[in-house]
Amino acid sequence: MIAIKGLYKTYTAGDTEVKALRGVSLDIGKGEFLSIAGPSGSGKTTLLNIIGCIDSADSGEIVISGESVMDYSRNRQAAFRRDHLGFVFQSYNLIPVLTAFENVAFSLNLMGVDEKEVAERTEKMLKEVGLEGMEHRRPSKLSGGQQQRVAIARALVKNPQIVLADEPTANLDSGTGKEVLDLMKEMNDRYGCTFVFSTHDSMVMDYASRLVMLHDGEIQSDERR
Amino acid sequence: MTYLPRMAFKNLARYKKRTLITASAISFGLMMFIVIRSLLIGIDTESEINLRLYETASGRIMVPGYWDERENAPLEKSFNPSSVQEVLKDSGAAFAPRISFAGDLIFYKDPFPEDGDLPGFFTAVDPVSDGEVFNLPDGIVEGRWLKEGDYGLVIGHWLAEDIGAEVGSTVLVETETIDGFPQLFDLEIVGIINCPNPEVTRSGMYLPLSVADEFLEMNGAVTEVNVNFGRDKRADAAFDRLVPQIEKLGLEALNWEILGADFIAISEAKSGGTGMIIMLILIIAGVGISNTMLMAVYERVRELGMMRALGMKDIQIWAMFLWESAGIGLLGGFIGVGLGALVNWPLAKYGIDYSFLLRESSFGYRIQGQMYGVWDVQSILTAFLLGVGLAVFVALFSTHRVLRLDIPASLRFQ
Repeated sequence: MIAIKGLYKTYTAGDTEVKALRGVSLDIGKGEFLSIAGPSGSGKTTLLNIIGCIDSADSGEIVISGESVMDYSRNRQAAFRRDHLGFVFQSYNLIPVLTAFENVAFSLNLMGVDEKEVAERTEKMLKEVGLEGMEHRRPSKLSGGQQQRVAIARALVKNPQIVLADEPTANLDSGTGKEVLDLMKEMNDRYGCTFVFSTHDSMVMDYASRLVMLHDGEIQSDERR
Repeated sequence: MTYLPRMAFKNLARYKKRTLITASAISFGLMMFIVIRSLLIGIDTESEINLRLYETASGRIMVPGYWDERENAPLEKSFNPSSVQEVLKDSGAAFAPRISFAGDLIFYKDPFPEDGDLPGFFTAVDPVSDGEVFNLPDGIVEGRWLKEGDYGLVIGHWLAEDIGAEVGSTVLVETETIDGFPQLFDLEIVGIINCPNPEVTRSGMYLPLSVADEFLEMNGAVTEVNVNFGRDKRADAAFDRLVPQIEKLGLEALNWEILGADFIAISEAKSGGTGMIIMLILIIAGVGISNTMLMAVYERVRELGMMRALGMKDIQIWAMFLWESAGIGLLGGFIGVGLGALVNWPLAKYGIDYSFLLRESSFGYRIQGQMYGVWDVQSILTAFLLGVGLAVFVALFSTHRVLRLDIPASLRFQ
């Protein structure tokens, strides 16, 4: 599904060079529920961003579903993200002017799905994430957990091959975080799409069926459960 | 793709204050544009009308070279008007012969407040045919217009005020005959003229052609024949067609634009100045809009980062901001046009009284007191399109700056 080979990435912050990834290689299979864990600065967000085609590596290769995405143009990468990837962000990143329904529908709008199908799929997805009756609420009228559910619905409504979640529970209390993780796991089981999420929270790590530990840009351990 | 305009308009509604402030900057600029254009076009239009009604008509026939020496009013450069009568009659134009001459207007205390001697230019006119070419008789505010054969003088209202002249007062005119001999004759002021052309009101002195012919010993010769075809483009074309026929007679025919070159020059110089003013207004409005648009864009960097991460292409981001800016531009355009119309209405209906400023000098313009605005649809449409265009232009700039950030940087942006 995802084949990562020898990924290197160095950032320059002023005069300082930060080696974010140092030769990371990883194969992720279809339907995995994989957590990339590690302390702050270990390179997990960088790795997630590169898998998600929103950042580029200095060297190495990423092949997703047989396609080498590193050489894609900016527009083709955007189209790839739109059609095959779902994103869940730590701070939800919902569009404040849109309702829960519209935020979820936004993913399908981008794909050019016709309005009727957008409505059907969006309603179904919001129901599945437990937000039935809250479709017309703006993000400001939803709790953090509910907002993250909207974000998960937005990621899943387009039936992506891969959902990438960067610290999806970091802004939530433990109870709500657990609910969100339960939901993600349920969606992973139901839709069979691959979930890759980063975390430094041990509770979140416990949910993963595979745990990849990063340290200083290198894979320290890769444990299947 | 309807979600993009929908989102854009939702964003406009979300940032109501900013939308209104930006639209206000645009609308103020457009209002100024409309009002300034209205007044300047009004001045031009009014000046052109007054120039043609009271000074130049469609054009003038003279001896070649007379126009270049007009400051000396050379009587020897005169001609017999009968030589052009046939051509002019065939053309269907109204025409009026005149003699222009230089001289001194001399007046004495009682009935005048004090003795005086005023150098100036006199215009001898045919009282009947002149009224068919110029509108001078309509401007009489005291007394009457000239009659054939009377030893009368009609003078401008401001001139009369300056020297304390009244209808019935007698003045002396000191000049030279066509052969250069001194001549002195007296005339009775029979009328005072106050017309919209300040040149006439400030310094106009008119006497009957027959009187000038007698005292200047012109033997029927005149210094000019003024021709009137009307005031539209067809009239101009008719005059231009006349020019070669007049030249065949050994005379020169100059159209109103050459005769009113001082006004045309001012008008053209003003167009350049106006362009500068308008450019300045647009720059000020543009900086204001640019600032608020930049703030609007920078406040949403993370949101845009997320949209790009979800697969929104740069062109769609551009489109969304263009919709937003076009919305602001439309709003500013409508408000600006509305405000412009509101301010322009009294200007067009009542005008502004600038007589206190224009009495001493009208800067080449032929307007005397009231400056009127006009309803210029082209200016209003231009203003509207400028508003939208300006907003879109600055949005392009702001959006470009945000799209230069990569997606992870956008998502981290605080």
